[in-house]
Amino acid sequence: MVFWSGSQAVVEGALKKGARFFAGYPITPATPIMEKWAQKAAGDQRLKFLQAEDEIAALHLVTGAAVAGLPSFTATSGPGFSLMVEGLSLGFVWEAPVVLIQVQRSGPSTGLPTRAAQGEILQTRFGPHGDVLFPVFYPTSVEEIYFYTQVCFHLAWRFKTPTILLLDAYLSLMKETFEPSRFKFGGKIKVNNKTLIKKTGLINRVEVGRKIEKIKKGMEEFAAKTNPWHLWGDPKTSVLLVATGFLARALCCFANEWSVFVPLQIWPPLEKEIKKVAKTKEKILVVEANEGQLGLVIASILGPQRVEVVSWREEVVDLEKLKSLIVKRLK
Amino acid sequence: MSYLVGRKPIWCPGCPLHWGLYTLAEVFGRLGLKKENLWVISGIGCTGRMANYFACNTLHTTHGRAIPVAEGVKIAQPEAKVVVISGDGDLLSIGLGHLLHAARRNSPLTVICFNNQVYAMTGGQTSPTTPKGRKTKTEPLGVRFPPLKPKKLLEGFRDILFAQTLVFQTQHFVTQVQKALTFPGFSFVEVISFCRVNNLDFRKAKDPNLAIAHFLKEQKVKLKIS
Repeated sequence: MVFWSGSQAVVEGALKKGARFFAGYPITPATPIMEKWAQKAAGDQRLKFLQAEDEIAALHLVTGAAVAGLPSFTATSGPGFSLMVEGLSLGFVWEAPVVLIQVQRSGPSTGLPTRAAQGEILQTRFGPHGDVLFPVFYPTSVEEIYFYTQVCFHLAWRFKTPTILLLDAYLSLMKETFEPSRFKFGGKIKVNNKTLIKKTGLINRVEVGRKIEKIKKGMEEFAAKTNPWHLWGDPKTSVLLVATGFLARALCCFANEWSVFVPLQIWPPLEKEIKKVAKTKEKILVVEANEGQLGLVIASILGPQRVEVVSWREEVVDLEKLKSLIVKRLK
Repeated sequence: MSYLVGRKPIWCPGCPLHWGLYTLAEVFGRLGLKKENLWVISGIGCTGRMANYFACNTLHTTHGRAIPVAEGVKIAQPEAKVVVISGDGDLLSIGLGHLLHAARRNSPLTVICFNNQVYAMTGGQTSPTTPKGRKTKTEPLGVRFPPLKPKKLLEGFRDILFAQTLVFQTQHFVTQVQKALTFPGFSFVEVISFCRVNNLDFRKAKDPNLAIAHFLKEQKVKLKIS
């Protein structure tokens, strides 16, 4: 058994998959990931670390290294992610297996760096220029962070594409006890000393379209095999709550009254599963710490009439307040 | 030449980049660099097209980001020879932060900057190295600010190698690039170049060829190339 923070679970998960290089730029609340890696790299010559001059450089450093065959990753938060999306499109075109950890914090711009929110759910899909699609996961606990970090590395190298692990400030900073040997995914990635690019990359719409199709199909197969979701509570209730990340953890407390669906795979969305779960439900509430991003995704699957969004705007999760907010909507 | 893919470059006829491409390929050959060990990485712009014409590992990055990508490649493959070839707009404007920090870290890269004092691919906008007073498409009354001088910028870094050379001074160019490629740390070669299409001084001159010849002569004296 171990007692790890979310940040440490990211680093340990990455090491488990054979990650060798991390480049980053300090930003609360993603900094602990960089610090943990720097400590590991100080004690092991094979592990490389570089604190870049900015987030743009950080992402391009890991993209360059990944293209040259080294399993690499970076971590950032809100404003840093805005800078990194520039390089994500490049990574997509180059088919670079980069893993990006996005620790969501509250508010636009400086916001509230030590508080959690879920403002970048759509940005991970629609942020980068051009038309791109990355596998995006959003775990709900430290053990799942450990597991899905490995999944991100695995799929990045299998599909040859950047992947994103969404977290939030609370998930990455909290500590939990779990047994790591129970959360393994796939084998170690081998360091490949040749360039991964065989030609100039994806150069036209046809190739980009095919790549997106390939990722969608691969992710469908992955979802069918590993079930990247939770369905908590009584499946017979007429009310379905949908939530992710730290809010999913809070809603877990209400599972005796309502059923709670937690998609751990955010992009591409779990269409089949969401349709199946929502089939018999009268009321579908998407509870999220933004003004309706996941709600938009769910509404695009189930139709806008069926879906309502409950926006959580407080800094700290208060279960009673959260419950009264939901009850008010159900009346 | 085996270092080139043999595709016809898209540069204008008479562009010094044609000459730069062949000369660089020649230098790689003289140093006997192995193609599978050589990485040519470039940014965006006319010079940014360079990567597309070399027959080794090549990466054509986004605007200004050639240096961080090159550093990443070097970290992944420490034995590789990593060369960044790009222009003044790419390296000294949008990519300036990366350039200075790569120099600070003394990253073992060779950066070759073709400085034509203009954004040529986008059609003649002001670049950070455009001389003060010259008219451009974005400064119709003449550039208001003094140019950026890479030599002055990089002077403070003691451990790196900085060299300047001039297009068409083949012997000088070859020795400078050779020196840079064999240097163990960070090396920067500024190649003073020109654009005959988008430099309005040249285009509006009575005899553009004479104006270019005059410019090259002036630069030769400035750089003390004999």
